Amino acid sequence: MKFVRHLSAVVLAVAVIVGLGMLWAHACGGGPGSGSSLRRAPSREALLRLEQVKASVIRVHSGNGFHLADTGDLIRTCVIEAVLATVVITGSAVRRRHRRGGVSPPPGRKAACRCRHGLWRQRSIAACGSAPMMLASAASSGASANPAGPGHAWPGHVVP
Amino acid sequence: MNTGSPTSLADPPVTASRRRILARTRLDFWLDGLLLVAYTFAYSLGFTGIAIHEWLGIGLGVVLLVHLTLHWDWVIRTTRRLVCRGSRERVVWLVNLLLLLSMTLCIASGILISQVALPRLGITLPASSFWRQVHGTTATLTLILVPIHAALRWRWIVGVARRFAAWRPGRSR
Repeated sequence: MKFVRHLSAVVLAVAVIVGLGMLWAHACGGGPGSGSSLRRAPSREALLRLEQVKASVIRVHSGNGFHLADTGDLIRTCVIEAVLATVVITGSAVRRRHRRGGVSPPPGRKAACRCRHGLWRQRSIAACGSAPMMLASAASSGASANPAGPGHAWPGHVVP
Repeated sequence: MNTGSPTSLADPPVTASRRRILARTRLDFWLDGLLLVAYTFAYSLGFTGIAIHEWLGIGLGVVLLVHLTLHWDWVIRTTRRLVCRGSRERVVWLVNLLLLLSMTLCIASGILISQVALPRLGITLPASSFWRQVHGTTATLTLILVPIHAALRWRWIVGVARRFAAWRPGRSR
């Protein structure tokens, strides 16, 4: 039932987008059958693509089935996608590292994550939001000798 | 993916809800992978030829509806808390919105300028240079946005792929 409800919402959203596109086409006088191709000169991009097709840089086949001889087209698409994805992933990793101050997790602590105080902790331990309780428990356990200061001395912290 | 609360020895190995989450994660992973591969093939018009390009595009449209439906909760949740969330979530939301717009227009315009698929179904539409231009522009925009969309979730992809690589039947993780 939930799926059907969500699907109808999605279909509605898509219909709105297509409707807006139709309106755009109507406003530009380029709807189907408007004959706009006779009135407007093709764009530079379209002309360039046409030239590429003519020069056999891009070959479009009308037949069925894949054309293994034209894998260059597929490879080019894959390369573009890979380059863009690599740029985003590298940027994300660099930003993440920068945010963490360039400190990597301690060895053997793959399940560890960082609290807002910048210290590594086990994932199973409660979030840093309960700081007063943590401080109280840290004080009772005598963990105030933490080099990060008394504010960070609570069980579960692993100083990098 | 967060595994939630720590499991103890007394817990059953795979609870019903956990099994459901695993099944959903598996569905998301493979469906998203299928979409990425299908889009890559569909964009390579020289490799596929016009007939496969068109049928693949129509199929992509259907799978895209399913993909959006499965993630509609995320769309609503993120849109609601967009004001108070960090910039990264906003970037993801914006990229996804742009991708939705460009891919919808790309598929719709592709259907409107169809030369093989629609005539095969007995539907013939007059040619329009406007939709041809929209198709080319949105296809290029989609080619830029698809890898960004996937790369913004690379941690999830790597995490799930690792879990699948380590997964054996009968084990919970």
